[in-house]
Amino acid sequence: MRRHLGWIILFATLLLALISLTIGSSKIGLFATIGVFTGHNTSATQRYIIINLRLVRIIASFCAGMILSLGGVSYQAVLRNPMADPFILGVSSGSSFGVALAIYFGLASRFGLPLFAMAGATGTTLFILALASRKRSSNTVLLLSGVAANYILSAAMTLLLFLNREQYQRILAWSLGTFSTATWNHVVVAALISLLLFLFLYKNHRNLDLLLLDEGSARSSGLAVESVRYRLLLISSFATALCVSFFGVIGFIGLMAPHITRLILGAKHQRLILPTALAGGFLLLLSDTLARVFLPSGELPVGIITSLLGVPLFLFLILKGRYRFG
Amino acid sequence: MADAIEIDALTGGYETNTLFQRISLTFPKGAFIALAGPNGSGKSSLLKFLYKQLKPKGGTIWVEKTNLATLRQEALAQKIGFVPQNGRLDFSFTVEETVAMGRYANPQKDDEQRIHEAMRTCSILNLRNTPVTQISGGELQRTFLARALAQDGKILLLDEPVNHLDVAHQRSVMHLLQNLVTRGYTVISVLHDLLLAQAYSSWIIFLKEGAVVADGPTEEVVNEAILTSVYNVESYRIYDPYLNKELLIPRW
Repeated sequence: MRRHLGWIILFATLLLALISLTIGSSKIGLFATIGVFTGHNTSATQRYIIINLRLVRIIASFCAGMILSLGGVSYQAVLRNPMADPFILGVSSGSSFGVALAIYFGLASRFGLPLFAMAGATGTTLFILALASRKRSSNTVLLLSGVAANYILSAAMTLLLFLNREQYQRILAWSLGTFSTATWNHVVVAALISLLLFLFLYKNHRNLDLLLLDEGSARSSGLAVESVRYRLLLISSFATALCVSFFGVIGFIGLMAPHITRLILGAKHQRLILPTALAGGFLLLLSDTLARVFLPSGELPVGIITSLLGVPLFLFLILKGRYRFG
Repeated sequence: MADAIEIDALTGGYETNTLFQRISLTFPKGAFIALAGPNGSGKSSLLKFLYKQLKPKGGTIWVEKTNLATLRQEALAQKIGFVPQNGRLDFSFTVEETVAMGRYANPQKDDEQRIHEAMRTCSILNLRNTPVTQISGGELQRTFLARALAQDGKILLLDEPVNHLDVAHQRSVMHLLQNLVTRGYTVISVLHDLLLAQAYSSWIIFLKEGAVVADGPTEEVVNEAILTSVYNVESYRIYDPYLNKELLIPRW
């Protein structure tokens, strides 16, 4: 299983994607769905629904899952902390604050929410990175800065919500994440970013391994600790910020996927990175599919599903005994 | 005897505390060198200068005749290995994967022969597929030592290598270090336990508040007056028939 994990996940993803394509308020059966791709006997409406509504969100959720899980791998190594996820340094609260600000000042309709989410996430990331590059900030300083940023931005967002209560639902829905607004433009960018992030992390697999050692061992083994950490943080944060700005804040994938694959494959990043990316993609696609079928009409925010599905699974895995941190 | 490392007028320390003021030291090649002194005297910090975690404000450090400041971290890794105090790894790498990390700076990164040789030297080859999260403290310390050996440098820095180990594990790690010295390694180890320092080291350096109080061959340097001036404790001598020499014991 260890050697074929990547293929197993890929096969499961394709199967799930096929099932997911048939799910929705318009009843389109399996054969009609396949027919859309083979060009047999399907109406233009069916083609539109399958390609532009369902396939787009399937690929979007898969790519977002890849980005978030890869972000998790990177953050856990850089911060040498198994509890780290891509949002630990304030990317999520930064983007939520950006969105809340845009809605409060009525700018959302003119420029679109993603722009403000991206600005908020990027601003927070740069602030934290500026702190990280100052002298020799330890992991603890970085983590505490992230926690502080999370608190202050969350408080600021709550204040904006309080001042503008009628927009509460809109901001809340966004902050829980959704793929219902995904477009092909989003998909192209997210696919490109997930591929680049994967290649970047794979190229850095030895660096990621060494970052998990104590700083003295890593440095004395030849690792230029500061510059490697800074580079990894910068790239992973921007990829996460972009993902959040398109699809909202989707928790737990970045924490869960790396731990699940580590449980099966061990911690060596060369083996870990690809299966983790695929597992993250699969889990988010699964969550999004469930989010679409859970309610008889409408859909649940995907962030609720990732936590509902993920937390019990995650607790089961870490309490299994054999598993210590990673 | 040539020197493995030479420190010339080193000044430096931390942001708020310049620990060392123009200290000079030599570390003889092929010796087992103990770094001793009270807590906060600068022993671990001195090691940090040697593997470039701390940068000097003044002075020069020569490693095998090369100015440390001109050595890139990767080049230094091929000269000096470091074993941390209470090394920990919370992620489930196998013992072999952890040792292999020592090859990071070497051109042949996956040289299995060298990795296995380092594990064999440290008697952990049988654990090679075991996750480091499932081995004992003594085995973990040996794993970290094997990782440092896999770097191929001939100088080993160790920060309290037997701290928290039971007597049997202390003995086996110290024997292993002694064995490495006979194979041409220079071992520089922070040691709190003065008995271990006297039993195993051939050269000793006493630090106090960032200053070098004494340095030289262990048998010449360790005496009652030094222990009183460094630690403010009285001591007495006993004869150890197994080592066939007198050891100085602090009076409790």
